Amino acid sequence: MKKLTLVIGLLACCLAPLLAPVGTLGAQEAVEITFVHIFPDERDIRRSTVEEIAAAFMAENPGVTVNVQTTTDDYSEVFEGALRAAEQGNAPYVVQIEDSLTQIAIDSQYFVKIGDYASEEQLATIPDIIAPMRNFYNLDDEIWGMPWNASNPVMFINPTMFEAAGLDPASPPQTFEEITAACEAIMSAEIENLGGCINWPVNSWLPEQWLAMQNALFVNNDNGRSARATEAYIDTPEMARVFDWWNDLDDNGYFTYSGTPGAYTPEGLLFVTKKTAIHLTTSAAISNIFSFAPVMGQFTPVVAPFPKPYAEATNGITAGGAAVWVMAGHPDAETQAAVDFIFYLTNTENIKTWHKASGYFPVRQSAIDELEAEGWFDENPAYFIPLQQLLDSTPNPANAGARFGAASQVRATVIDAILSVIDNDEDPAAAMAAAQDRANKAIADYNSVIGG
Amino acid sequence: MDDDSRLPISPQAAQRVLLGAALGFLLVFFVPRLDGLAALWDLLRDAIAGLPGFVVDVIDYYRAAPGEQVAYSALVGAIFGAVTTALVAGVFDPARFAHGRTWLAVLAGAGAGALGAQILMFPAQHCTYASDIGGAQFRVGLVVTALGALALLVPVWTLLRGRPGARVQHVAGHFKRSPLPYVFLVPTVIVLAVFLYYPAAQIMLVSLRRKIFPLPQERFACMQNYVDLASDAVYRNSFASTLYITLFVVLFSLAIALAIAVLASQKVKWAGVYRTLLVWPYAISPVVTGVIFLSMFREGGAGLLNWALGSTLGINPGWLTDKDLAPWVIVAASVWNLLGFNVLFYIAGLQNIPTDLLEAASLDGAGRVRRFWRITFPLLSPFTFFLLVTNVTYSFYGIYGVVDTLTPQGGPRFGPGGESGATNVLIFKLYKDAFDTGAPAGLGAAQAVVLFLMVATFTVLQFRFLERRVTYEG
Repeated sequence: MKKLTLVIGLLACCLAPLLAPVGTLGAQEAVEITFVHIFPDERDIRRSTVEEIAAAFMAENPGVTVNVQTTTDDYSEVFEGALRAAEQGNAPYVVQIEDSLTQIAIDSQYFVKIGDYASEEQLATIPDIIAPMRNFYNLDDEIWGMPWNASNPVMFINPTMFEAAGLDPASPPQTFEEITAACEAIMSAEIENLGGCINWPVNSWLPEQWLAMQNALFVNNDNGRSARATEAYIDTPEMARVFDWWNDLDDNGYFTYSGTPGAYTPEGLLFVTKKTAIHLTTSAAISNIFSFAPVMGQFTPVVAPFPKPYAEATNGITAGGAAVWVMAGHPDAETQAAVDFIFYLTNTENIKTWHKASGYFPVRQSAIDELEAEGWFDENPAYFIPLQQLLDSTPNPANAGARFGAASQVRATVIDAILSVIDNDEDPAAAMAAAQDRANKAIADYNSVIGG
Repeated sequence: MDDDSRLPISPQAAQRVLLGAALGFLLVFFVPRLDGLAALWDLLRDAIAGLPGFVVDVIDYYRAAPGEQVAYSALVGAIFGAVTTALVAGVFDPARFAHGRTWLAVLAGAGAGALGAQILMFPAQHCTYASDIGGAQFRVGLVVTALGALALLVPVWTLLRGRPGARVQHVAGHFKRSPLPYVFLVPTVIVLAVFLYYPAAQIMLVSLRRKIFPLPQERFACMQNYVDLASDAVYRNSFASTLYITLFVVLFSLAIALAIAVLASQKVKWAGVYRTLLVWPYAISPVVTGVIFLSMFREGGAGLLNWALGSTLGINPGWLTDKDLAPWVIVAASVWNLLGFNVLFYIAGLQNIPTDLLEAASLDGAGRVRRFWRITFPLLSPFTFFLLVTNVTYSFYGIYGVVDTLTPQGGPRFGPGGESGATNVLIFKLYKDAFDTGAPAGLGAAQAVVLFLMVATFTVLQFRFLERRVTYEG
């Protein structure tokens, strides 16, 4: 019988852990909120920073538990997951929403305005948010989401290659024309293994920046800010300037990309492995590119302001990134706790911590002032460039960026049009006209369902 | 050797322990999942409890429905039913069909058609028979009416043909007049209903609506989604690329697999090792296959293939950005992905071929090639047929993972404004149109319905016409 006892004992040991979850039912009833963000990588310092901030918040508010959840780095998946969960009555509380999803998130009716729950004290900190961010998120009118991780595009150059081509890395090209000229020099310098002179992720975001710089709108009704947008502006002289330049770079063999449209990492890899000399990308990539370039390419890159279409195109760029939103359908106490957590997450101290950990630029003037006083930007000048180019612009509808529900679909048509020009040698003018038609149809479809 | 020493406990006790363990496992497995089970139970209960309400809804609908539209749909269904029943009676022996009472059969067909038409026209709210409907939507409506009518007509025809199983000897089973078989069917039916039929019906309903994924808002659109599809150049291009990618994937994967299997079946040293290695790609998912091929075909100087080609021949083909090349990369990746599966089955098939036939042929003077084409290949036909069906299904559905990893934008763009993609196959376009943020989800649902009808038709045709040429006996 000993063996029988042994068998039963072993079985019991195997099954015991399975029984364990039953015992944890019925935990204490306190306010418990969830926060869903898009930094799931366990090695990512941004993830641990968020968790530290949440832990500090819980220490200060003993009645509140913040469950930080993260499973994907895809903004759309987070948004769709949140909506699906809300449909089934399991809505998360605080969700990180990308800027291009702003209008569709409002239209979904699954979110509440943070402004409706914020205290006087909390609302008093809103003017401290830098003007371009307030402009981008319409914070002076209504507060849906609080800007949290913000970035904008910058230019990286490989100083070694610039010197090899007889160019001065200290004065990087600033306009389309200057980039073309620099590329001509770089491509004729016979640098080994060069795949092209310049690369950037093929998306609609960068062309939209070039529109903003030219004080041109992307959609009508003041970029969808004075009324719901009904028409896209793709077939315009300002966009033509972008398409034509891009097409010329491609025809001359100056422009290259990984073959995967929209992807950031493969393009960054081309630059740090010395396949290109100039690279345009988001300022959120500064940390990665600075840590990988010395290892993979044995060089230290130089960060420069994002190039302008022409010297007089000084209207500035848009403030992109993501904001943190609160979902509807929860009891007031929980919604209140969620709003409190958001104001804690975006207070001066935590914005500073967040900036240092992630490279996303600080969205509060008070944080910028303190960082300047600490000498942080003197030690890390690369981080000041994206901030500087943003603060240089006077807010207006063009550099506020477009806000409309069909943004994802319209951006896809812009990418399609660009790809047909650079990969399939379509005529830029024809491609832009066709893209405009498709975009208008997507906007009309969206408005016909949502009732704009 | 005494038998008792082999087991420490008696067989009965061992059986009891096993039974106890099994019960214990079931308990431990289901108790923590009671919430989920309760939710499923609630769902089923609500569905059953909702049935009377549904019937009331149907009655209310027909009371309030515009009589004209209902009458037209019934008329179209009746005409379709009468005509097709007459045709069916003609194809079969008219003397035997419905015992020779053809007129009665046609009348029954008309009735079944009129009633069957309502199966699909009720959910569509008879919208295609409204007076202000466009011509294109009206025509789609006719097809839908006919499809609904068919759903009822086919069983009616089967009845009228007389007992279909007359040739089969009726064997008295133990289950006769017992509810037991239905009890055994219940779990399967529940699973099918909850996870297959219900979602399929939902998709059909969504295909009649305009929606923006993932927003909850929607509006009824009648057959507009189907009409849009029919007139959409992007959809037509997507259809064409699906067809030729499928053609080449199936052709190459079967041909190469057969060749490899024949080689791997030779009696050589380490044959087992070769076979294992050959079957191995089967264990790799389409997504991983895509990633492996991406590392070879990536551009801008980062891909293995262009590195090799660039440093030897000085060329850099745009594998993923050239609209004439990208489909071939997809074909290559899919063929490689399918190869292991196909080789596995062909090796099994080759081992089943009786050697005496081959020996006899050999004695009669048939050469290697002749023996292969006259004996081996025909005897492999059940395997080829099975692989044909599975490979076609893979090319229509399973290819998604490969396309998404290699060409996440649907491939190199062509057409006005780059609206079409060279690898934008139907399943990929469907997914994009259903699940991209802001996507027209109703249009995606319509594509799902059309794709389902297409693959279903294709599979039925394969079984009807190809299977007849298959030899199952050695």
